[in-house]
Amino acid sequence: MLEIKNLHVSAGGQEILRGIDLVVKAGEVHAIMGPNGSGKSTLSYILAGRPGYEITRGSVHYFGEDLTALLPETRAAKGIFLGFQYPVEIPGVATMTFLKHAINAQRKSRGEDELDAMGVMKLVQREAGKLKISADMLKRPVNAGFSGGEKKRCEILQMAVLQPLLAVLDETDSGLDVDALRLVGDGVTGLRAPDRAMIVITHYQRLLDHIVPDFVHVLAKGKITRSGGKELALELDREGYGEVVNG
Amino acid sequence: MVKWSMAEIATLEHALLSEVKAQEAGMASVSPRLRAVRQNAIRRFSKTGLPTRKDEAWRWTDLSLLREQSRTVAEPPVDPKSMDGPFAGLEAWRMIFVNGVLQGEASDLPPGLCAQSLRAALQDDAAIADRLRDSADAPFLALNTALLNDGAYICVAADTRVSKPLHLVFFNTGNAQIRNLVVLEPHANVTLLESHYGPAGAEYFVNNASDVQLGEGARLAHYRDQAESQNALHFHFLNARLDAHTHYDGFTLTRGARLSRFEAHVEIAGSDALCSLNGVSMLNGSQTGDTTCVMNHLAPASRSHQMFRTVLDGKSQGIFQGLIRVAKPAQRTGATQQIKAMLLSPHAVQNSKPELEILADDVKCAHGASVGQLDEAALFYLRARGIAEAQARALLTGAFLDDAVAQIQGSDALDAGQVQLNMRDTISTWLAQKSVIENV
Repeated sequence: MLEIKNLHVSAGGQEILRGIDLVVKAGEVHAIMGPNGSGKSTLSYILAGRPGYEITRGSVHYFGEDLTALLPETRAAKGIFLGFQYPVEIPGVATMTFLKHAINAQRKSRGEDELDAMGVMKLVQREAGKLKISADMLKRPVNAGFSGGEKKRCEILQMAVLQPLLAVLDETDSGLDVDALRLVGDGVTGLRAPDRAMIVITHYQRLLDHIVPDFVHVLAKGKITRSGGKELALELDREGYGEVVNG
Repeated sequence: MVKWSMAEIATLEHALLSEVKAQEAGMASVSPRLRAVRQNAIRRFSKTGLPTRKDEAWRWTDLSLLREQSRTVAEPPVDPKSMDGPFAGLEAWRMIFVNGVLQGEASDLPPGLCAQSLRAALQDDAAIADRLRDSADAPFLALNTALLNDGAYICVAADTRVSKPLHLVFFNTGNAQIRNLVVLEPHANVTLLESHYGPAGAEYFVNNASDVQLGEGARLAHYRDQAESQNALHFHFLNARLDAHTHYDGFTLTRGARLSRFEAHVEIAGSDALCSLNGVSMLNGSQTGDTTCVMNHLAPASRSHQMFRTVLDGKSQGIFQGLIRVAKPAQRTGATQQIKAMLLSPHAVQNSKPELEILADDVKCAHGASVGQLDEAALFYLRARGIAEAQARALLTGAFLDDAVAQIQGSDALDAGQVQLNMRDTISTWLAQKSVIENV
């Protein structure tokens, strides 16, 4: 599904990623862990297509297609979803309106029929219920005045209604208390599917108690320094990043 | 209608001055009261002519277009009922004016209500001339009075609630001086809509002035759509006077004209009045849109709120000048003014000048002005969810303008939700057309 080869990325004249190799297949969950400033968020932005990052070497292919040539909205329609570390507040656009635009823009781009207001409402409400998101929250502007937990639950709601093929979740656990973490973790786990892959970016192991990964990679100073199974996350949690970063 | 001959006159300003001077001779048939009002205006305009950028109130508004334009362009007749915009589909009484002259046959006038041609009203009752108010340092108002021709005269008797909106449709194809006089006697309740428009591309100069007087407890919902031809010059001077316990709810959508200025002077002369003055401006190309508001609190315990949102694309220029003045007796005044502009192009310019002049000591006034750009982080967020860039920009821009649209309060005769929805439709259409142009 996703093949990253020798990826080098710079932003603002500084090299952030220095040769990443990663292969993700359908159905897999990959965790990417690493200390602050290691380039985790940059990797997520490269996959989603955020302007301002320059790929200096290497390639990213998604279902065999050069991903870097596509607009962010095209990537979304092709099934890439980025769960933001800091979801953006959009005053004046109601959450439900936003979801309707997003769902139908993607459907239209794929040549599918658009859903009417009732269809969107039903779909959104079904998923919102699971994440304990109230109808009132859906009427409020996107993320405006939402608590940290509400913002992250809203990200998972978007993922649930947009049904991506590749979900990149950037520090979805940051700013969550224990209960919210469980809710979000269960939400994500419920979305695991044979045709869907996930890249879960996190600083801490605790999220991985809820979303159990197939593979764990350590990203440090712009490179993947170690890869392993889920037990690697536990080791990191016990011993810290010091050894793997320097070793 | 005013006509000039190219051969005789070099510029519009000279033409106007000559036209104004020529009025004096032709006023033998005018009632002495009206003559006095107009002679005063003639003197005033003859002395000053058009303002220049050296005048503080006009420092950002370049009138050279007015000086350059010297003629009217004849346009093929267009059906004045062919208008679109936020008020087109609403059930309303309609007064249709072509170049400021009431078209009785095309209009649908409310029975039993005084809504007629101002010219006819002045002929019937000379005392009406006394209600035409003058204002110092208002050259376009003086010009309008000097060249007074026609417009709407609406006078609503005390305690009358007009059950349908009254829609003034100003269709312009050539130069015009339009004067409206709107008098609401105590506790009258009226909804007044205005559409200003003309054939696409037509060049003309239209100078509007409206006197609006609200008697005690009266309520006026007053919504305007300025959609003049992209080559037109449009001026509108609104002189409003609010007595005690009145409620004025005003909204202006500015989207037309090459150069426009909406200048509102509101005098809050009674206590416990509420005045809302809001608007959206959408400018593109080489348009200049000037909104100038003077909110004059003269009496205690009244409130005024102003919220204006402007989006500017192309090489357009937006101007906002807003003065809140609170006189000494106007204790316990509450006044707000919030001005925001968003630049959609690196070549667009916004000049804002909010001012407070407070002489009373027990008041609550807040004002703020900002100029910004579209939030790139929000844009990426929407695109990452699959919303195409042009649509994402339109969505964010519409949301920005919606702050002002949401202020529209509606009336008994016109549901707030309906008029807000229509405004949003007109705004979305503008935004969609804009993005089509960008994608070509």
